Amino acid sequence: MFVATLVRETIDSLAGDVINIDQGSGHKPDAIPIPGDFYIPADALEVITQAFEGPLDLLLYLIRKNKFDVLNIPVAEIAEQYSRYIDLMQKIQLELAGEYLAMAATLAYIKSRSLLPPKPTDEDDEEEVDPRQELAKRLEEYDRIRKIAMLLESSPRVGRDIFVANALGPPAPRQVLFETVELVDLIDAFKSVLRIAELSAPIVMKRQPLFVKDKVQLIRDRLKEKGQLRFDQLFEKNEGRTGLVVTFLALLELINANQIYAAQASSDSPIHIHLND
Amino acid sequence: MTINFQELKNIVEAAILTSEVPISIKQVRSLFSLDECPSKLEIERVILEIQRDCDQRGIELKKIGNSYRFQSRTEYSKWLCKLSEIRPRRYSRALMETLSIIAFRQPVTRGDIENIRGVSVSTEIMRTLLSNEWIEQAGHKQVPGRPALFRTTSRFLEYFNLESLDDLPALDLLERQATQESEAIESADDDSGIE
Repeated sequence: MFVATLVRETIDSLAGDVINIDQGSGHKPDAIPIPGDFYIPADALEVITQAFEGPLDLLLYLIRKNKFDVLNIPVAEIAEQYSRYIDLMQKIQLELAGEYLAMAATLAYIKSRSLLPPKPTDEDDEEEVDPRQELAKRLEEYDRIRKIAMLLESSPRVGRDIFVANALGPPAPRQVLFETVELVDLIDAFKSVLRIAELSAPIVMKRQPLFVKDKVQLIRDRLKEKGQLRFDQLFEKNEGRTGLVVTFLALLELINANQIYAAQASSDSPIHIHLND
Repeated sequence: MTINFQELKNIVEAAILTSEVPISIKQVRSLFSLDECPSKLEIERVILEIQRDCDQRGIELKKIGNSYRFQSRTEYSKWLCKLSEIRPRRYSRALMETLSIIAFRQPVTRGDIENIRGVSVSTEIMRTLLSNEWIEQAGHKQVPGRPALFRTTSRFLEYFNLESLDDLPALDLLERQATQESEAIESADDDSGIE
């Protein structure tokens, strides 16, 4: 917080200089000179952007500095000061977020509207929202959150102000949720897939090249999508025996690489293949 | 078979102390078999007793949400912080403001946050808040575009040592401020202050 204050004071004094020079040179708003020896190290600019959390923060700062009432802002004055800051920040090549410029436009709009006579309205009940009221509401809301954030920042926190006490409990018994699937079980399951496939196999089969590598990718993709699949769902029955064998090899490959694992709820329930995260 | 008060107290104390996360009364009750299970009221009495025992100690039994944990008293952090190798992370004002908005106005969309802060929400901040599990998605707002809604989690309460959202530090201050402000409005002049 200290750095932020320091930076604010720096900008302030700079903005003050500019204002003075401006007034001294006979109110020529276009000719705000930057002092010749004006120098800010490159990395300081980043700190300046961080000093204000946005246009509302900058506005609140200006209002507070001038001891204005948020509910009753002298918009003309604030708009002037605000645009001086914006000018200065731009002059020192600070890349301003669009929000700052949008706020400058809003202020200019409110200012110009206040100079115009009130628009005659056809219907009395259709009351226009006073943009000044709206701005005041937003400022209040932001100010509230700003204060809450400060309080939250200083309220006790685990690892900084409080430390959670923990004693070592008894060693936890290893809970076996799934019976482990042995290679034999996988082969058995594969046998039944083969048998079903043979029954439903087409009589003529076109020979097509099949690679374990491709299957590995395919299985991984399908599991990524579904999370888990029943063992037999992994096989495409119309690929024939070669296809099935290649898929099975790919499956073993993935298990070996620890990318997937097989599990079943009990020894005679279907085997499911899961993706290891 | 019933368990006597002292024994029940010891079991509850040990359970809370050895659990890695805060545990609720319901969870404590689930540790007992049906025939010996103490009532909710009995456990609450035991907890009160443990809290009283802690009065003279460096640790306290704190309620977080529905759950309980033992923790050091804040006044000893000055010494205790040296125990931990990792320095607590500092969070930016932008992050704390974003978190405060979510905590107080939940559920909110990113748009709501942007409206209040007047600047766009940083993806980095949202990612940090989500990965710390202080906030979570809570469905979508039923408006065009169906933006995601965010709310705080029980982890948020745990981390900031809050019993509930009502326990947020600023709440009563805000109420006081609100009444002061409404009084101020009533006594304020109509003068607009615009030149």
